[in-house]
Amino acid sequence: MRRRRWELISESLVEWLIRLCGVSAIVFVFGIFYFVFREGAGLLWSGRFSVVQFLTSIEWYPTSQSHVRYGALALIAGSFSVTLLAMAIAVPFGVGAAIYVSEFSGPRAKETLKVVIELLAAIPSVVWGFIGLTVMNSLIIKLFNAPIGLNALNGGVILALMSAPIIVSIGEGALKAVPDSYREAALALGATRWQMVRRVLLPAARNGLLAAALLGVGRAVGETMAVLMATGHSIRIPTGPLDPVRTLTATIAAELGEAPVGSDHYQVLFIIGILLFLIAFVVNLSADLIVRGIRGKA
Amino acid sequence: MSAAIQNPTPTAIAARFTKTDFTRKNERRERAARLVFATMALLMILPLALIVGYLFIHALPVLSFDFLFKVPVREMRAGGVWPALLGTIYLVLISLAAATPVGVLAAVYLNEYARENWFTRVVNLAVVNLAGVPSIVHALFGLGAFVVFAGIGRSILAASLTLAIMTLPVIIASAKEALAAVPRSFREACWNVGATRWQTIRHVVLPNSVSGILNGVILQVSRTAGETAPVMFTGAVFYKAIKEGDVFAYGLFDQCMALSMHLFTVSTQVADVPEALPYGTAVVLLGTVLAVNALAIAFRVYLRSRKKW
Amino acid sequence: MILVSRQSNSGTYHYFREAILGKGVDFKLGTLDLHGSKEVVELVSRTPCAIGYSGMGYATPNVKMLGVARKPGENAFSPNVENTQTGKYPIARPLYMYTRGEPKDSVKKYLRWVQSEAGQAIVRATGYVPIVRETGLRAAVEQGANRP
Repeated sequence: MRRRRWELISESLVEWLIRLCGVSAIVFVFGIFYFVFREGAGLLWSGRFSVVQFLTSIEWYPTSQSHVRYGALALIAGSFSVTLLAMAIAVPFGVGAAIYVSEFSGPRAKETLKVVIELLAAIPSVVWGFIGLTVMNSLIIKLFNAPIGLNALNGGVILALMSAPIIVSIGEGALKAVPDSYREAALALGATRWQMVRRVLLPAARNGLLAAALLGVGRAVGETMAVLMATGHSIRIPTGPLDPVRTLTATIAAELGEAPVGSDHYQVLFIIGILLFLIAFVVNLSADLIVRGIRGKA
Repeated sequence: MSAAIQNPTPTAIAARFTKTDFTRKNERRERAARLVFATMALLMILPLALIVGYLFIHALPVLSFDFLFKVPVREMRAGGVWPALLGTIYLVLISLAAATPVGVLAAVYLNEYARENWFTRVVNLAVVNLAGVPSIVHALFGLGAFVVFAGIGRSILAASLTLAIMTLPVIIASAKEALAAVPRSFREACWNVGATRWQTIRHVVLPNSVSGILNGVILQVSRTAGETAPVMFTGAVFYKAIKEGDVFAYGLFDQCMALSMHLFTVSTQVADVPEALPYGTAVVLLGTVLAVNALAIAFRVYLRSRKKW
Repeated sequence: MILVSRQSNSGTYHYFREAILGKGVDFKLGTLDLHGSKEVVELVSRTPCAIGYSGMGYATPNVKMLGVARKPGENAFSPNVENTQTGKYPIARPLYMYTRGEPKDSVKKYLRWVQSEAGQAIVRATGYVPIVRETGLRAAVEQGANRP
């Protein structure tokens, strides 16, 4: 069959366009890293910034008139504590819910639960922050007799509710990926459903569940608006869940608006952005490698 | 999982085993485990219902048709959310108009053209990583790349482009799924009659995956509408005066208000706001998001019933 | 004791630091840095043993506004419009409006309106301190706004 010449040319043009779009993701990931790095680089190489101080000092005084310090340790501790609390709640409950959806529920319950979890995941982060500011705030004050309700616990619970849907859906996928033959073998040997889950499924789906938890961590660390509104925004190393804290993400969001473009303060906020990007990259890479590990084995 | 295994009838159990103390203990444990997991799942549903209910109740004094179409007055202590609602609509439409073609073509590349080599793995890794970038880092990127470097300045365009890059990975993922769902036999039939790869895609594969792609795009509408950080520094502002009910109020290079940022503003920055106003804003935002998502889910269910293969 | 402060993107934060802490001194770490004056007032009104600083216009009946003396031992004055205009209340700062070059046409009209009775009535209604007309009092306000 003979093709007209313009058909051949337009076909290859379209193919090149498609290839271009295909690599766009790589372009943007690198682009993001490049631009964020570029805006912060000036300060990074200058003598006014020390990476050691950044990572080990809690003194965060970027706008001081006398003694500017960029110690981000309290911010890192804030992000870490809120994420830890969130995961301590979200991982058990998320995996439990995933197990229920995957193994114990009938088809109608399964559909309803999946829809509800999807809707839960759709709630915008600023609405979550608003809930933390209003509902959680009063709840914590009443339940724990605490002086203030804006603290690590508030942020942790809100983040748990935000990252649970991811853990449930990816965890459910991991459980579904275990072949039915495993289940049937266990049941044929006389195991109850729970015994099958505990001794056969969970070990088999371990990698996928771990990846699910890691992606939940990534979501929690990267969250901005909810923690900005709910954690009390206080620079300190928290001594307990009722302490107000400040996270890396909230610091950027709070201070970027008034930092003059190109100033030292502006640049150090981009340096925090680089740190966040690296953390997210490591978390996602690990999750991906873990999942790939299963595929490599099976 | 076969039905017989999923729901064994009592007689089936009895036929398999006789009850001993050992099995009784196991069955007790089984019931306990089932209860525990069901509770965990329920604890996922409960917050949603409670939250929506609580917000709605507190927002009632303020909710009305007027609330949607009037502008904020008296320093945002009264009036409606029209500029913010309009701004959000603009941002959603423009960012999805930018992200969808690129995302779909990228999915076409990954599904139809790419070979199983290390390069494809890197591309897939990049998509996953792009999905995991924190929203504030997207904001920093938008500020550094679009507002400052490209010189667009703080505008709807810069904010929309930032949002587009944020939603790109999810559009790619759902489009990939939609394309993969088209059976290989369709493609083979086309190749057999001599169509080129692009002709196959354009005339057969894409039309059959439009519904799946549309589903993914609709889901991203709610995400775009709800994000605050990426627009806060690239184009959304505290207040902008436009006429009530004016649909063409914003230009591409104007700054705009956005519902998500408006919620942040009225709940933290404005004094003496009657309690119902921030709740009302939250309900409008949440309602829009949940409604769009419910629409997407219903659409998906409808499609599944209509599928011819 | 719960210390409530503002974030460093706030003009109130900068003014308070310079006026009260002194030039070159920084806030202590561990304060709750809230987003707006309104939030500060809300938190203090709800929390026992909390203290914070905020704009006068944001005060609600649920908080107690403390009287401040310029030096220890002197009379303390509560924050209200008269004490601010006469310079007795020490923590006060003027707010400026800036124009690019000499104001012309509509910009000039706008500024005139702000300074007029109608404009200043709005200032007073929203809880801020109207500008003072007579030169004598204005000098007193400026003196009061500077740190001792």
